[in-house]
Amino acid sequence: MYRYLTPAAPAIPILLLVVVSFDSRLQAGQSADALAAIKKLGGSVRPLRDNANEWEVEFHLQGRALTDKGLASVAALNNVVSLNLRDTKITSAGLLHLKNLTTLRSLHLERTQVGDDGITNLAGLVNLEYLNLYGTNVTDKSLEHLTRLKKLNRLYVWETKVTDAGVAKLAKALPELRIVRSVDLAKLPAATVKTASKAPVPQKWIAASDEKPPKSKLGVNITVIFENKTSIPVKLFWISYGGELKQYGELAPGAMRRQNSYSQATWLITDGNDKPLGYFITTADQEALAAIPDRKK
Amino acid sequence: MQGDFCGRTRREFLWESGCGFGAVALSALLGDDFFGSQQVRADGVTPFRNPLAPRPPHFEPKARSVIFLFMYGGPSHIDTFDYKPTMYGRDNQTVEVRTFGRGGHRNQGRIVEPRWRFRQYGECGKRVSDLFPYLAQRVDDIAFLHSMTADSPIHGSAMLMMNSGRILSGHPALGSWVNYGLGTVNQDLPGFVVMLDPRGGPISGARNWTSGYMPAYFEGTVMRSQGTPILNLNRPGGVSATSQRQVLDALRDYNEAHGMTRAGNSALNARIASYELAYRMQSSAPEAVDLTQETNETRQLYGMDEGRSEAFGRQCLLARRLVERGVRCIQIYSGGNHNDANWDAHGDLAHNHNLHAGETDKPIAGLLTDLKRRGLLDSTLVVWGGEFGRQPTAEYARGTGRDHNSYGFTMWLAGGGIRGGVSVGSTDELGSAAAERPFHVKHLHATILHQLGLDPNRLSYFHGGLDQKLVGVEGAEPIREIIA
Repeated sequence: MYRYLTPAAPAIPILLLVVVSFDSRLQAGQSADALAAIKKLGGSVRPLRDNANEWEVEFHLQGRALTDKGLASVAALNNVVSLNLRDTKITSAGLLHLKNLTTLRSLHLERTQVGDDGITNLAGLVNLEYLNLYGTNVTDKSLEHLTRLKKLNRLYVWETKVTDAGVAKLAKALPELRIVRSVDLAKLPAATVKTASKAPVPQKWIAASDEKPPKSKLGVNITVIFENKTSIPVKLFWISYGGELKQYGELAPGAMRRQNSYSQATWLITDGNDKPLGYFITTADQEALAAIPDRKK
Repeated sequence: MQGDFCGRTRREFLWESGCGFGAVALSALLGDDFFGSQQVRADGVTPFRNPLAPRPPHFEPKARSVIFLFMYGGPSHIDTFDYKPTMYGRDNQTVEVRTFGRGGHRNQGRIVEPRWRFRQYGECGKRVSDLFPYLAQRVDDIAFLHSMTADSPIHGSAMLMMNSGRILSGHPALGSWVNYGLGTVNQDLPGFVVMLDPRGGPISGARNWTSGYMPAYFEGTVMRSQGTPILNLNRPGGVSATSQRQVLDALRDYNEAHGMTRAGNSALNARIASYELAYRMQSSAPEAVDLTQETNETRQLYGMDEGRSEAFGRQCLLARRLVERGVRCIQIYSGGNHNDANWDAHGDLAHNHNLHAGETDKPIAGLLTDLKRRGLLDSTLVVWGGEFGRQPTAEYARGTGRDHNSYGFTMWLAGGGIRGGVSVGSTDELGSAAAERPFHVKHLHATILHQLGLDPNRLSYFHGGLDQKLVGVEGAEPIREIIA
């Protein structure tokens, strides 16, 4: 019978390793009392990702009976980055507990009774990126409290008393912020034709040398117009983020091609025998004109 | 006895010792806190260890849920989103083009010019055909993949590929992988829900949402679009909640006693889990599917006020409600059954696509709009597409029907951290095959897993001597160009 016990032995060290890593996650310095209180209210506290000391707290599924008092337990936790209070019974008074939760990046308050008095408490949550206030009692006054939140990039205020003027004012203070109100399909134009507002930006040609062209970096979505001014067919290669060459077809002498790309991308141009002629590093924010010069000139 | 342990190999025994008993020991060590909310027995003490308890993702997720809008039968890309200007005016011309469909390999064919005009929409200026006047207005939220390829141009195997990454049956579906990787945050609803076209299901039925070699609790749960969404959920007349709970506890005692000597019997664990889930769903599911809680404006937004889009609109609205309640993966089928009951336009192309696009255009546009205004589109990944596309040429000597085409077709994604208003890859000038930046189904799967915070090359399940992955044992990279 010992035969069958021996194979299990190697499993034990594996098990111990797992326990250690799970254990460290539990010892993230969270107050046991707060965890127990949140659990009792139907809330959940979960790590945002594997082995991270960043926490997600949610009440919108089983903890919708949550009232202002219960938020004190959330304030007792460390490193809360995401908090979902949708459909709970909290009011403006409860938001006082969130005042010092400066680690918050995402906050859901939609479909609760919170209003302008409560939103004042969010003015110092400088790491906030996502704020959902749809279906609450907020007005333009609330938006004024958000102007210091420079990292905020998404704000939802559908079904509130927020006005065009208030939204315009906030949009001016936070140009990166996307404010979503309602989307009325009937009012949308059937077809809006895009017109390029800027002329294509000519790109710098860097002739091939012993130096290796750099890898592409992540940028914004642009269009590159390639023009082959040489008298030979050329090949277009994108140098990927990892440094590999990816061919994007050939361009006949005199031909032009529009190519979807990104700014800070490296485009290597070779002749038909894969011999490098030179490269472009795209810089435009809309359209780039990459003219491949004739070597003889 | 030699070399045989209750019919299992040594390797299997080792595996189960590490994972099965190991997990039991872990739960004892950690208490039940870590494993999230759990059902408690009638004695109020003994907790039930839920195999679907939430697990942290590998890295910070962009998307929390996926809604896969499956256009069964294969929509024609060149008649929907892949604009081919040079084909207009060439109807009935014979061209040299390699095609491979149910009619086999061919080297030439008769062009069927796209039957719809394309217009530009949105800030990105994307061209969309007149099949989708509503959906077209959402292009600035959508990333189009125009160079998709798949391994099979035949429905059954192509469906399995799009759903499970392989053309052979027996592999877990995307929704199973997602629930295996992340668990479910709502213990009162299934983590993987499938909604079928009222005309019928797709070819091979449940094999498209099976958990394959994974434990059966990762399998998709089918919700009906009409009448009671989930069958046999209500308690029989004359049975009280208490007595039902006692029956379930007794059953579980027997099942667990049986399971003690049969570690890793996933069918048995799944049965226990599904009894418990059904019990909890008796109270939670009716609320989740109660569409009377929605305003008339919302119902109209999904096209529920029009006969043709009523059913798909209802399913899309249901999907949003499930996403709000933490369901991880929802798959809705447009089209089912045979012939023109799905997108498989072998006969009259215009009739077929007008029908199916007409049924789905407003609901899908409504879904994207509704998710967006509620702040849910950021965390909900919407995927649209069929198992393949269609050929540029006619299948028969007469008519406008197009045969299947897995050499090149279009799919799109929106929300869940996907960059909107972009188009990646292309097909040749006829749309017969992917030209620039060809993508395989596994790249799509890798992108979906990546957005959910799972590393597609790390999420694996040991089976048959291999660390199996959704993207295949060789792995695949997500499509970075469409990730915001």
